[in-house]
Amino acid sequence: MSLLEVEGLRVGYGFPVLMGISFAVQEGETAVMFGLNGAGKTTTVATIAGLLKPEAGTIRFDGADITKTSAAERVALGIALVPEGRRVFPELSVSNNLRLGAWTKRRHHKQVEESRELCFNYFPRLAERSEQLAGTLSGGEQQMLAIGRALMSRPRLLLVDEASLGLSPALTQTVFSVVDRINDDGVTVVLVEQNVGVLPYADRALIMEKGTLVYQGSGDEIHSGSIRETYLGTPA
Amino acid sequence: MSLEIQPQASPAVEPVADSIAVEVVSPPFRPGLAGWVARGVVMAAVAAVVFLVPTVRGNVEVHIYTQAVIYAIIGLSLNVLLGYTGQISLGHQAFVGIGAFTSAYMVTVQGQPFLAAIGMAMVVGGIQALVLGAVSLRITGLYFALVTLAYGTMAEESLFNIQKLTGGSAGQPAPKPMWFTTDLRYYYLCLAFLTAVVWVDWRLMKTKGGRALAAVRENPRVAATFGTDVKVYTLMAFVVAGVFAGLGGALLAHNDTFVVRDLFNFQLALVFVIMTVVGGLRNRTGVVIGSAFFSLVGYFFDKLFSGGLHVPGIKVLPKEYAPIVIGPMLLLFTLTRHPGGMGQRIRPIQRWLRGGRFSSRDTHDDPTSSGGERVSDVRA
Repeated sequence: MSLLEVEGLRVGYGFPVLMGISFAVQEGETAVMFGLNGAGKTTTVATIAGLLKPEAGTIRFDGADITKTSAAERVALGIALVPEGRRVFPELSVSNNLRLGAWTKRRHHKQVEESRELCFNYFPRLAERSEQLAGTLSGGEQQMLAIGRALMSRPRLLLVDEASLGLSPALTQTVFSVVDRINDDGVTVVLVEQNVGVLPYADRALIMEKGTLVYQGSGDEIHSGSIRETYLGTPA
Repeated sequence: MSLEIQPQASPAVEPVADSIAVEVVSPPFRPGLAGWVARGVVMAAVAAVVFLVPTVRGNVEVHIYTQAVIYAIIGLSLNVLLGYTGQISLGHQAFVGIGAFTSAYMVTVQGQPFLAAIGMAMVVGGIQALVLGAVSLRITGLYFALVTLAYGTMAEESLFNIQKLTGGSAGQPAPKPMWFTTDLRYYYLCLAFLTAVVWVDWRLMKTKGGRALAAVRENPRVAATFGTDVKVYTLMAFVVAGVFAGLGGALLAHNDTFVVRDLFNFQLALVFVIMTVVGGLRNRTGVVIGSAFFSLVGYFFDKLFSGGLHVPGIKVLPKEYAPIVIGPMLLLFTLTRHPGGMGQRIRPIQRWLRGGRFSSRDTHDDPTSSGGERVSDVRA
């Protein structure tokens, strides 16, 4: 069953950015969205998260139309976004960053505590640094915190925008592997990436170009076939 | 078509914690007995200056010190807006003036006790902030500053001229409260109010609402991603700022025992902004020191340069030339101490007094601070 269905999505900033894209992501999948800068990847996930209003099209989550719901309502439904460039709150401690991630569940202390434990389980380093200011963490740690913060709302769908941005190849693989673990634990993941290193983890690949989806297929297909060379410019 | 490709490493999973290069976490620093004694001596000295010096000064000076304490309350009020929400208010004199006139009216015309008058000034301050915030929060930055500027001008030209409430050009008497009729006693009363404001401000920033405010200030878009209602929390900050400003205005009125409309002009609004920014946004101690400094500077410079300004090797300049030297000095201070202002300068001392090292580096969550060292951003 599709957890996320996007149909004819058109978004613009006074000029068109998304030209009516349609795709679906099945529950439990990891979908990876590739594309050059300006292709519309970030706009797509920001619109799914409720930060941008579409001009046309529908977004369905678990069968329900959420096109007109607010960002807060979508978080409560189970959609969380890890924004591009990490965007942790640098003047707040790791612990307070995590608490903010659980904002919609702030009155349920037990749930927040459980989410924190879960997050520390994925990222033990964050537990060690829970009182440290987020702005003083390394780039990799900040990425961990950004993902952990999004997990605090216990999402069913995790949107991760450019997790590998600014990270070393080794650290990038580490981040991908943790995202894979999160997916194994039942969270559906949409990764926006420019790094083909993520392909081994992809169940579904979406390739965007100038606001349109030029290719959709399985991760295996793009990982091993000629499509990879055609669209991503790199041999398998 | 080609994408930016990074070298593809093996997808083999590495343990998360081991693969991140980090510095070793050392145990927290704890001072020895001598260190604690030294800190105690410094704190006692500061307390002596604040509590004892006014007892040996004349009434005129104590009156000025009281004004400094009240300016600190107003500075903290503006810090909530500027520091916590990043919004510039160029009409803060209106918030303060309305508090002053409300309290004076309640005591003089309505015959209400001082505490009821103060309470009403705070309520009115909160309500005006709520209304102004509700109608203007759809805009931010310079445009919001213009709205507050217009509000300040409207208050100056219209509200403060309502004869029945403000006494018009004659002003409104605002006697000091019973038990606090001397300047020294009133000074201590204002100190108590300042302590209460600092405590409320500190508590506010430690609550969920405070964290939400911090998130909204740092990145409203990301804060919204987690379901934080940006408008509600910004409005909450507005109301708190309005309440503090109302209190500051009321105390100011009773300190002067008379309140006249001419005091609350645009120039005063600028002084409030400058003292808060130079004090150091989001650093309570810095804001208190900055506000007190700008409140006292006029009086003490007047005293210092009463015989003219002695410039070594040149000549004695008349007193009127003092601002030519003092102005650039302040400007230089602001420019070189940007962005943290006085707050940034005193952070190592604060950290040391709390039992830490004498260090300017902020790495951990500070339980007694809203963490205002690094940024003095306002949205423009």
